Amino acid sequence: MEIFILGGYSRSSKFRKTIRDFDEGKLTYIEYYTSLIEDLAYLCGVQDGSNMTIIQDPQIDFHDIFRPFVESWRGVYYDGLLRYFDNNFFYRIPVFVEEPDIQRCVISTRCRLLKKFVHYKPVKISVPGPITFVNMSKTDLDKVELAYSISRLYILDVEIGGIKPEFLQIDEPYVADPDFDEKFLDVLDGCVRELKKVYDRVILSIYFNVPKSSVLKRIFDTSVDLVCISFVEYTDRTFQVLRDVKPEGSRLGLGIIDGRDIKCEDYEYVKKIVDKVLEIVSDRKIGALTTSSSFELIPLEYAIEKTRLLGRYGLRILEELSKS
Amino acid sequence: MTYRLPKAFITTVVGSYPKFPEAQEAIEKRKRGLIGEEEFRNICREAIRKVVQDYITAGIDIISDGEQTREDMVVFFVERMKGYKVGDWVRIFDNVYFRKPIVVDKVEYCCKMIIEDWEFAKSVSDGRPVKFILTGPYTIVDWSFNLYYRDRVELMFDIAKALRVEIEEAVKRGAKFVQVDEPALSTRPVKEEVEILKDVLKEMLHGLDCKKIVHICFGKIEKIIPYLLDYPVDQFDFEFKNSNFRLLPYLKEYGYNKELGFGVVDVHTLRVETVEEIKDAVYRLLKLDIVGPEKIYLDPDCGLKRLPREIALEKLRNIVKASIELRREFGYD
Repeated sequence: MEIFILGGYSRSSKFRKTIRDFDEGKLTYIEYYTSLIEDLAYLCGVQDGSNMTIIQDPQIDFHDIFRPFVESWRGVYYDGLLRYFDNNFFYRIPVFVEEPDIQRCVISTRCRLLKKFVHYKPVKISVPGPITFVNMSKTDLDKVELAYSISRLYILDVEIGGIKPEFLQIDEPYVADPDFDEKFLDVLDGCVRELKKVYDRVILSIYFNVPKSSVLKRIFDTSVDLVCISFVEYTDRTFQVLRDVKPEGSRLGLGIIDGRDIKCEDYEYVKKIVDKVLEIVSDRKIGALTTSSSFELIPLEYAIEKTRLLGRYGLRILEELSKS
Repeated sequence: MTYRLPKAFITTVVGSYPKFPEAQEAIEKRKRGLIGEEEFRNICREAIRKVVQDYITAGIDIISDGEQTREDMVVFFVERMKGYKVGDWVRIFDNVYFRKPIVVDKVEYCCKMIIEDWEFAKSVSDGRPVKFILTGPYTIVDWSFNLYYRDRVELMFDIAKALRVEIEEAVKRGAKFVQVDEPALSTRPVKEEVEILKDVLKEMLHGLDCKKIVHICFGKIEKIIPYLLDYPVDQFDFEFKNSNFRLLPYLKEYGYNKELGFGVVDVHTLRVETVEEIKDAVYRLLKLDIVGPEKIYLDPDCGLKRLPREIALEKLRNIVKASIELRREFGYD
C-alpha cells in the first residue's frame, strides 16, 4: 500500500516574494530558479522524511493545474479567471484555438528535476485529466478529439524528454461535477488506455465532491491502477456510493487527511474511516492512503504538519493491517 | 442636499472600486502595526472622497464607499469581530493570496466595521444615496477556517447577529439601501444551502426599514433561482455580462419578480462595453418581460477593484449614458 500526497503545496512567503520580484524584473531568472529549487527540494525532503512512499511534485511554481501546459503548448492560451469548483480560488481559463502541440516538455522536465532530490523513491507527477481539461476550457474544437490530443501530448512529453515518472496522476475532479456528461466516460476509458501504453502506473484522482455511483463504477472499470477519492468531505455520501459501486478492477486510494482544512485529524478518526471502508472492500483492494486534495489551499505550515500526520497514521494503519 | 433617483433604469455599483495608493499604503501600515485604527480611517477618507467623486463624475445614482478600507471582503469584517484570529496566507489566484481567517472562539460583535466609511461617503455624496454593503455570513464562513464551531450554520447565525448590530446602526443613521454580498453561495448551488442562507438572512434583516439587496455572482446561479424567490429581500443583484446573459431565460422560467440588479459590464475584462452594447442587454431583458424598467438597476457584474481606475470609470460612464438614453426611449425623462 502506498502513502502519498494527492497534489501540490502552497507557497512559502519567501517564494511568493520571489515570484513577485521576478515578475517586476527585480530578480534574474537564475535567482528565481534557485529559490524554486530550494523550496522544491525542501518539500520533497518533507515528504521523504514523513514516510511517503511516493514523492509528489510540490508544484509550487504552478499558478493553477492547467497553466504549465497552457504555457508550454501551441494552440492554446489562457484567458480570464473562473472559480475552481467550490473554492475561493480561481484558475485562468485555457482557450484552445487549434489542436495543441508541444513546444516545451512539462512532465519529463519535472520528473528529471525531482529525481535529483529523491532518486531513490518513485516520483508522481499530477496533470489535469483530459476530461477535466477540456470541460474547464473554452474551445470550438471537438471536445472528444481534444481530450485524445491532450492524452497524446502527455505521452509525447515523456517520449521527447526521455524520462518518465513512475506514477502519472490524472486529476479528474470534473467527473464529480453535477453537470458531468457521462458520454465522456468512454473517452476517459480510451485516454487511459493510451496513457497506459507508455506510463507504467496511472492514478486517477477525484476531489472536492463525490461522483455518482454510475460514474464511479465505470471509472473503476477503466485500466487505471488506482482511483483516489476523498473520505473526509461528504463522508456519508461517499460511503453510500462505495457501497453501491462495490469496486472491481482498479484499486482504491483513500483520501483520509483533509487537504482543504487546517484542523488536524486524530488517529481514531482516520482509523474509523479505514475500518468502515474495510467493511465494504477487502484490504487488498486498498492501494493507497492519501489526502483528500492537494495542499494548495491551506497555509504551508499546516500542509507540512498534515504531511507528517499522513505518514505517521499511514504507517500505523499498515502495521495494524499486517497484524490482522 | 437631496438627490432625486430616476424612476427607471437606476444606475448603481456593486461595491468595490480600484484602490487608491493612499488606501493601499494605509492598509499595509495598519497590518504592520505602524498606525492605529483612527489614523488608518483618517488616511482612507481621502481615498473614499476620490471614489465618490469618480462616481459623481460618471453620474451613478446609488453609490458606495468603494471599499477602500477593506484589505479584502472577509478579513476586514472578521478582524472586527470577537472569536476570529487572522490566519496565514492562502492563494486566491496566480500569486495573489489572502489571509484566510480562523474561527477560534464564539463569534460576537465587538466594534464598528464599515459604518464610519459609509457615513463619510454619505457626507461627500452630494445627497446621492450610499449603499451600505457587507459581506454576508455564508461567504464569511465559507472563506474562513473553523476550529471552534461543530456546526457551520450556528457560526453563520452568530456572524449574522454581529453584522445585524452594524446594519441596525446604519439604518438608524439613514441607510436606505443595504446590500449583503454572498458570492460563495453560487459555489454550492443546491436547495439545502440556499435554504440555510434564507434562514440566516431572515435573522439578519428582519424588521429593518430599508431596501434589502443580495449580490451573488460567478457560478451556476440558474440552479438556485427557484429557491431564491421567497428570500426576505427586495432585490437580487446578479452578474450577467460575464456569462453572456445565460441567466435571463431562467429568470423568466421561474417567474422572477423582485427588483433586479442587472450586471451589464464585465469586471474581468479591460474592454469597455459600448453604450449600444449595454442598451442591447437591457432590450434583451425587457423583451423577455421579466421585470419592468422601474425594477431594473444597471450596474457592473461585480466589484470593480481589479480594474485600472480609468477603465472602471469609463465603464461606469457608459452605463450612465445607456441609462439616460433608455429613460428617454421609454418615456421616463
